[in-house]
Amino acid sequence: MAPADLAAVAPLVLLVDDEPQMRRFLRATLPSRGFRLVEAASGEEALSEAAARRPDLVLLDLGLPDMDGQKVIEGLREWSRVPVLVLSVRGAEPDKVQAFNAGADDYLTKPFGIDELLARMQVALRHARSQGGSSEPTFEVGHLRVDLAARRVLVKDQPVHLTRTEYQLLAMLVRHAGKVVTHPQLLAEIWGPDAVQQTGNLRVYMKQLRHKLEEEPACPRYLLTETGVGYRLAVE
Amino acid sequence: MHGGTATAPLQKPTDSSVPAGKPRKLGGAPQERFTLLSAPMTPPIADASETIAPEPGPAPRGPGRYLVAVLVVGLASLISASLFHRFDPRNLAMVYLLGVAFVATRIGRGPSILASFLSVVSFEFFFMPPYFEWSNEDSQYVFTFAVLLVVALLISGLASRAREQTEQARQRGRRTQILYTMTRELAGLSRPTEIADHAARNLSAVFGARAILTLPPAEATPPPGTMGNPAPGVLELPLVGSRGTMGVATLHFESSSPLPVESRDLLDSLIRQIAISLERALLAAQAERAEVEVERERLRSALLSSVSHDLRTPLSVIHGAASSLIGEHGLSAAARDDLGTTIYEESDRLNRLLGNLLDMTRVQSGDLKVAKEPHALEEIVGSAVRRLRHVLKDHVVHPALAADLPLVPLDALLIEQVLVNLLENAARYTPTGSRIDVRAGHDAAEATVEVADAGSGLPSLGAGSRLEHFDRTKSGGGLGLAICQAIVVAHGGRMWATNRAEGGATLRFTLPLASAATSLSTSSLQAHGAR
Repeated sequence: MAPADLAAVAPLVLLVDDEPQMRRFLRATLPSRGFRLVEAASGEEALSEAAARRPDLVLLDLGLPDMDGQKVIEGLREWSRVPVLVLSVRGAEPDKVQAFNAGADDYLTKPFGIDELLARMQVALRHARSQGGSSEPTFEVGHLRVDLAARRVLVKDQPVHLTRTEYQLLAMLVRHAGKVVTHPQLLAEIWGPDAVQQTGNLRVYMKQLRHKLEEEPACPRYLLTETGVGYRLAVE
Repeated sequence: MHGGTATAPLQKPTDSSVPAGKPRKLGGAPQERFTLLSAPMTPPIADASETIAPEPGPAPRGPGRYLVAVLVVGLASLISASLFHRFDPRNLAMVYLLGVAFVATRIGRGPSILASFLSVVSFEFFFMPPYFEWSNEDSQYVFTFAVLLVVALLISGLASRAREQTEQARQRGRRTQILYTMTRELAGLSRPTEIADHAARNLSAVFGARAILTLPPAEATPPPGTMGNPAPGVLELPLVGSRGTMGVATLHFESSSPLPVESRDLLDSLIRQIAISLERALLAAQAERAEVEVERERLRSALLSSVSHDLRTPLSVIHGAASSLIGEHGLSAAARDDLGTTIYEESDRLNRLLGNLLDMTRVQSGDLKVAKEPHALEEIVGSAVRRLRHVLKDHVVHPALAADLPLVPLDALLIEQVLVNLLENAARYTPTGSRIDVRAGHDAAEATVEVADAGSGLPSLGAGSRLEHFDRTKSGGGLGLAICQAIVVAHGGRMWATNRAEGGATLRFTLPLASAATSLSTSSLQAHGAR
């Protein structure tokens, strides 16, 4: 969230959606929030626009008329690391997981509010910028403070003791703060690539982590669940 | 019992045939329901040795029988020798007669003729002077031989007739037994395909032939030319019911000789029984289809009316609010904000309604698949509350989940939908600022989740009584609750509502802790009560 950075050069957003109404809505909103906009109504168009204009961020609807949105992600990933934010409808969780596997950075469920969209776009842009250099060693949201350098976790300034696995889980979420981290990503990072099916394990540790960090584990403030997909650490 | 495929196996014709094995659907489309059934020659009811061969020999055969005849005569000679000095030689002839009678009774005509001949020869050779040599002039033994021969023929004739009668009686008994067993077994089956399958196996076992039962569409009777004149060794028998031919039984025999009359009678009786069973099953399936169709039609119209009501309400609010915003510059900032908020909230509601309608469609088409995985209920509750944060902002949600809750096998998306519906329902029907409790606990068998509000309770429900069926035909909450119930039932749980003594309603549902994947059938959803 550094408006000064964004103002310097307004980020270029490639919007890929075949629905004219959706494009119209975003065309009416995004430029006034400090973004430049390129539109594409099909997968072909998206790939050629991406190559020609080199956008800073891609907003991608998965249901395109000419090709599967997954193919667009794969096509982009052959040559570009541009952050891809998938816009999808609820109930299509397998599609979301597939999109993550193809290389998407985040997703947003339609219908979404503009504030939510802007927040996700900021997160994606920030992660893209910090990809080369080092990310912030400390993370803070609400009463939660994580110091990755010192491996310290504080809630309301009180140190919280975490087991090794719990800390690894939290650190992974912190490194991707604001973005969805899928179950397989978490499992592979912490238990190794052979463990990607053991979501039960993950849920047990997540529960423990919530009980240590959250005031009300059943209404989490920080460790949010993206049902059927993964977890997201709240950034605000 | 409706598993889709089995209910209507007879809808589309096709005429290819399938080799021995299990019942198969041809084509692959669910409507492609022409079924062919055949069976290998493995016997389900009788053991293979009991098969009725085309010519069942009544008596044993083989050279061994003649050997027995020789042995019997030899024995008679030994006995005669031991009696030789005490009795008149003519009486010894009686011993030989006894032997011949034995052979004729027990063994058969041919051996008994041999025994007669050997007896005369032995008698003459051993016991008539001159001993141990042939006396050619003694022609009286020709007479002895003739008498023995007549006795042998008479007795063997009688004996073989008696044996035949016994054999017939045995066959009749066995036929009755087979018929009875098959009828009883077929009576226990309800699907036409099962009946055809079973019958084919029975026919195969009983007749030692490869039996194929073909069930064509009920409307199309098979062309008459194909009946009655099949290739040698092949029998084609129509399965005729009161309303025409229901199918064909084809038997491929190993040999091409015609079936004996008794076997043919048995076959006809079996075919009649199979036809009766088939007709019963077909009629039952038809009745059930009709019933399902009526229910489906009723649901469809209920759903349509609820769609038009549920969707139009938020839609008209959005429409109205948006139209007042467009080009209306005299509105105060507060009013514009108000209208914007209204549009936002109502479109949110519309979105949830659409989700419910989609779920309902999946329930009705039998397409609701439950993918269970072990989940922390807390996580599901949290996710549902978060999804509804705008709706719940004027209520106080108090989650109280038991600390020792185990992971519960459930489909997270579906159970989240249940909680979203229950919470939204609670928020909608209770005053702003009131409290909503979400509790969860468990025993050995199941986890129980409840959403309790502090409103005025369910109007249709007396104190202490439970509402166990949620009517999906009612608008709004009703549709949502019906879907909740469908989802919970699909998980193997139950859902019910009670009114709290202190006011407000409690909706509870259970989820079994033992994992078992289930899918929902339409019949598990019964709509009776209403909110």
